[in-house]
Amino acid sequence: MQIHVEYVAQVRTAAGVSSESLAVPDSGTVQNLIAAVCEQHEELVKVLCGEGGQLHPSILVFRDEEPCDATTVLADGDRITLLSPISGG
Amino acid sequence: MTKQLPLTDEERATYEWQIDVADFGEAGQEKLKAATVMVSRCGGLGSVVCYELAAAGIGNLILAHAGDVKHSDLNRQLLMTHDWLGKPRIETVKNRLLDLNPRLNIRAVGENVSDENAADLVKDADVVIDAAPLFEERYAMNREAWIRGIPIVECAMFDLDAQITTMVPGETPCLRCLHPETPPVWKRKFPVFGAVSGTIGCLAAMEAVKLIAGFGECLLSRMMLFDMRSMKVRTHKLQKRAGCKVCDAS
Repeated sequence: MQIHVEYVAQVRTAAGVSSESLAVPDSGTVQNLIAAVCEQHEELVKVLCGEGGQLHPSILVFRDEEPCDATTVLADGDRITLLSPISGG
Repeated sequence: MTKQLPLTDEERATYEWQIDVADFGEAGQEKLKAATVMVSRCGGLGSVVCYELAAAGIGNLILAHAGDVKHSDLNRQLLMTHDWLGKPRIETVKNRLLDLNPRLNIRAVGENVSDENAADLVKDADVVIDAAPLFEERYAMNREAWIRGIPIVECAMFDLDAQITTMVPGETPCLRCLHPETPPVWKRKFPVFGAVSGTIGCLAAMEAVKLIAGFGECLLSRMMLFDMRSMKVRTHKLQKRAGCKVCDAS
């Protein structure tokens, strides 16, 4: 299935694109999507992942407007936004 | 927040354009006069928050910002000035705010928030504005505000992106719910334009005014994201994190 991914802030900088569509196995989860985006853009591993390639808990993930997490099962055509923490300064 | 202080004739004249906002009125202005906002720090975001709050007639500010003015402050930190290079940031912040509003009571502290001073800086505030860059100081403020039931306006920027959300203890997620750990990659220096931080600083000031005066609708359990490169604005829902150590302890 195809998932539309949108990258925000440092995630966008690391990916080098603001959005794209990626293939994920049917019934795949957000964690499967994270593996796919990291395979596509090696720089994203250090931004998005903790130990063992798992989604780092500081990363916010949204399906459309709703928050979700690594275990969320995706559906074809989902729009997922990945946002790493940012600050003031 | 029901504290109110009566206005003088001068204050009534100064704020008459906003007192005309129907659901704000003179009662709203009296609440601003009685209120205290704590801002950490007074950089690209915090400078603009402070300036807007000073202009709006907030009564009291508690400000925390360490260090001396540097050239690299001047693209966004609008309370810092060229003539103050090498001198304490907090002094120019205080001076410029008092130039605008001499009635303002300011407690200006030349330190950044830390585990050691967070309780003292936060305890007298009605609203806290988190405009700080380091997660350690943000977590310290979050913890102390949550213990005391004080709302926090969280604002941040990176490149041409900016975000804002308002957090209220007992109602919304806290900063630790969103980011229970410091991010794996974070650099103190990051790309940004002053107009990006200024935009989100204005919105943070408006959130504080609404919280204090009790009108309008704040960004509770919602995060507004601005992409100023494409001029897209989105709002995402936020939720509490089960097992959040700050929420569970408060």
